[in-house]
Amino acid sequence: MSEEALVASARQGDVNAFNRLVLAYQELAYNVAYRILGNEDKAADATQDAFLRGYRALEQFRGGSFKVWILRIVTNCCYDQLRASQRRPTASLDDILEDDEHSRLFEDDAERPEEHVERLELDEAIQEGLGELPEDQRAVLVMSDIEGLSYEEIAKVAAVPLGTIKSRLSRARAKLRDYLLANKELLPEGFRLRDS
Amino acid sequence: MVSKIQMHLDHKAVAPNLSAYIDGALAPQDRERVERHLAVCPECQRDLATLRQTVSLLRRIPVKRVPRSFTLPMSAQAERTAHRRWALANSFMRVSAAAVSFMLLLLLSTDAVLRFGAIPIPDMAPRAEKYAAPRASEVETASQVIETREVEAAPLEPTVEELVKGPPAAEHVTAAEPSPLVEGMGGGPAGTPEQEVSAAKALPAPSQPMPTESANGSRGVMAAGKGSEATPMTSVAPTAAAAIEAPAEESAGKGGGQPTQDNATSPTAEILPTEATFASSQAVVPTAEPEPVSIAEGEPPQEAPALSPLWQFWRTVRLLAGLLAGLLCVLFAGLLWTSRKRRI
Repeated sequence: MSEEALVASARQGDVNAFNRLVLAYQELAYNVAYRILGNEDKAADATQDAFLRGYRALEQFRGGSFKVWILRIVTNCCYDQLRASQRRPTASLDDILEDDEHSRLFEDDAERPEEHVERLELDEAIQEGLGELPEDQRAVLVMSDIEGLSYEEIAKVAAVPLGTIKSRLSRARAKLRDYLLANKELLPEGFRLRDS
Repeated sequence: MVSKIQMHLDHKAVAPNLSAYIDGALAPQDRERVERHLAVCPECQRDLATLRQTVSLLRRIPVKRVPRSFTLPMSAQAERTAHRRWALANSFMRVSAAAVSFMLLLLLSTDAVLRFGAIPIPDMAPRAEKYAAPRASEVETASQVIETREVEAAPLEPTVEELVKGPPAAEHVTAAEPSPLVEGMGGGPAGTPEQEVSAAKALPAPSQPMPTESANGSRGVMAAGKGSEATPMTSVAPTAAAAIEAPAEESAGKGGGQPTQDNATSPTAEILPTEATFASSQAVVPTAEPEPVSIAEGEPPQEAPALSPLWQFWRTVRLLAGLLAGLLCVLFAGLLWTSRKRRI
């Protein structure tokens, strides 16, 4: 069943059809949310909220890419979460008790334990760096360099012109680069930037 | 020296394009410029290298496994229906809230202005009554007076004929004194019909009540009164005809007493040809005499200008307030609507 057919069925109220779309895009949605929010629970909440909002607002979907449409809702949900946490900042118990050994990163069976630790460190360092960016630049950087979306897709998700995406991405990359250069010790030995 | 300036300009232009250059998203001429500059600028080479490393690191970070499935429960379908109903109710509430707030604002502003005495209502009310009530009767009696005089002065049929299609009569009227009458009609906001009516009254010069009335009458009437017997007759008729044609225009500029005025003038014209009313009008004439005088004394043309600026001002204020409130409501509703659309 094609994506259009699933969307059409879901639009009629078919939850099963919509759930097939959810299964196809939940990983992407969750990862974008996690990179924007930097917190697993908030990311899960935002993702769930986005799919629920998407299902309710399916009449407003005017065709085109469902991926782009759902990502727009996901980013909006993330911005809502960020604003909410700015209003009442709380330290998550999970953040305090987070145990790297039980992190839900994809674990490659062939990966050596040292490599695994290095990748975790890299992940943390980059997440820290992303947290330093303004939210619009962060979203563009995540969609472009982590999730591999094209400029055109990102422009549609963010509902801004292509040129804006290019300049936002340029500034975001430069800022993250500067952050990683200034905090080299955060990165594992093999991943440090070499500027000379 | 020139090449240094050129290099500086290139550097300024190339630095923001390095990111797009990595993705191969530059136009051919921009790409060439970047490449030319990179060949000679070690700083940009370094920037490009570190940017590439950053992008490469981002691409290497692991994908997060979803903590759970985000599929929706089957109950979502029922919830969606309920949500839709709620959304419908919500939009309805929004529209009605806007409408109600608009009306409330209009009502409150009106009430506030009236209550705090910006407009002296206690003064206005009796005046308006005095103004409206006798005027109707005045017009009635006055019209009867006209009929009486007409019947006395000349046979009815020729007059009516002249009225409808008598070129000499029309010419005569224009020759006699058309402009003051027209001026009188357009000039005073409330006095126009009175002037016509008094003009009508004043026309038959030899009658008894004339001296006092003509003194109060308009200039046009005075002038017309000087003419022959036939002249007033014809000039009365067009005046009455004009009054019938005009009410729509006139009523726009006048107060509460106006509708009765219009109603009173049109019957006048209808009654005009009938001889049956003659007898009754004869009886009315004496009673009519003191009234026009008293009305002429308490004539609104003097009072109306004193009140009308305040009313004009108030009307403008209310209109502006209403428009502003409406505009705000529309803007508010529009904002709510667009924000709802945007946030999905």
